[in-house]
Amino acid sequence: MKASLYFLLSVFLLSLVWAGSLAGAPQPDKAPDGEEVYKANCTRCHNTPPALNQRQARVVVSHMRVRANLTARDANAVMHYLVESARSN
Amino acid sequence: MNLRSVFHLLLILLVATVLTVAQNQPDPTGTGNVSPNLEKGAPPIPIITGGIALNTSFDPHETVIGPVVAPIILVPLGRHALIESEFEAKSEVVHTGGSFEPVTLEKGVEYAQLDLFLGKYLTLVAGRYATPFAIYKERLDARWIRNLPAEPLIFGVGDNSSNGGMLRGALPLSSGAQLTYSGYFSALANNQFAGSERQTGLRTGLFFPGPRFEAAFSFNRRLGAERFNNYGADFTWNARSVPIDIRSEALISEAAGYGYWVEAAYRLSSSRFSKWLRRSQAVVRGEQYFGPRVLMDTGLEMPEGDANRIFTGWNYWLTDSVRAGVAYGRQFGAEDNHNIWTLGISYRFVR
Repeated sequence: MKASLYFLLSVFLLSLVWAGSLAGAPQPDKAPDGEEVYKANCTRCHNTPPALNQRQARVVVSHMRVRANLTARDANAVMHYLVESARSN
Repeated sequence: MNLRSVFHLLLILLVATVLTVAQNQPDPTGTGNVSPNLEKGAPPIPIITGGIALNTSFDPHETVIGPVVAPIILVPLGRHALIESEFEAKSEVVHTGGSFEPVTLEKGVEYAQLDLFLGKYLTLVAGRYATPFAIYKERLDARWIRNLPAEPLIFGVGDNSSNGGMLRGALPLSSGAQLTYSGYFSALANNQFAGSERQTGLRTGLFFPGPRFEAAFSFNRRLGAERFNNYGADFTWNARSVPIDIRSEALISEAAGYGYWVEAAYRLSSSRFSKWLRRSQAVVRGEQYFGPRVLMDTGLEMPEGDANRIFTGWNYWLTDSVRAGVAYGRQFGAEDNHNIWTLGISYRFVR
């Protein structure tokens, strides 16, 4: 049991160290790119939602902020992206 | 060097990496000029969303037709609180031995929770919520999201809801890394449609938006008549260079068993494929389960014995909201090996 648990934790930590090396150079402080945040967080699980107006997007993003553990800043960026995408389509 | 030493070495390496990265980053909490903002603009409105699905599975002994309806109601309370609830009803029509068995209907409240956004990085959840053990229950269980119709063999440990409270959120460690966390406590409830076990636990992980990689560790302690611990790990990776999504979960539990699954889904979105093919996705999943070493009445729905299974599937989006899928799997169990064919269609809606 303990050996299995330590193996699991070791694999977990190793994957984090590997991912950390992929994270790359620091980015300058700037507003997050909504499309990039959307692709990094939302499309990990599902495809593009139907077109949403701003009032709908606000609620859907609040729902997903909880479900996907988004920060407020990233949630704002995703909402901005969804609203702009709906407008441009 | 034993595994414990390796673990400690990796832990030190990880802390050193995080500290190094964090020291080289600008203030991640700097304000970005992003508009529209959740705090501004037109007030939010209630929404009904969710999914409807119909799956039919065939194995050598029986055919199962399983319709599922899962509406979600989202009601915002101002800009800092949200009520969200999902009700799920699923039926099974089983044809075996040349006749139909009585139709079964399962219904229940998956979650009915109040979310209070206490800060940029903290949300308080109260009520009934999906237990955050690994990722499948919270993120992939919806029929219109899951890549394959069948749940993983180890899903029984995470397939439950809790009645109680939870703190969760994400903390930016740098512009390239976030710490995600969920900690919860659940009370015992015997309600027919919203029952729960007395349990506590946490899930915490690191998410790297750049490489789109998240790895997390879950701990769950059951505090009922039988007390035992479950440990889980999960990772997701969406490669940038090729449109492939890789997901995995692992389980270690003396009482519930041991196992893992790894799933890869490849979207044929490249322009070198025909327009028809670009709406499709190929999926493969491999998994293993080994029974518990300690026999106790856990109340969990786990496989009856050791099992290995491989699935392959094909999904096709008829529209952005309607997806059809076909999957083939072969299960190698202690008592028999058999094939599983599945046909399904799902519809996702937002109103």
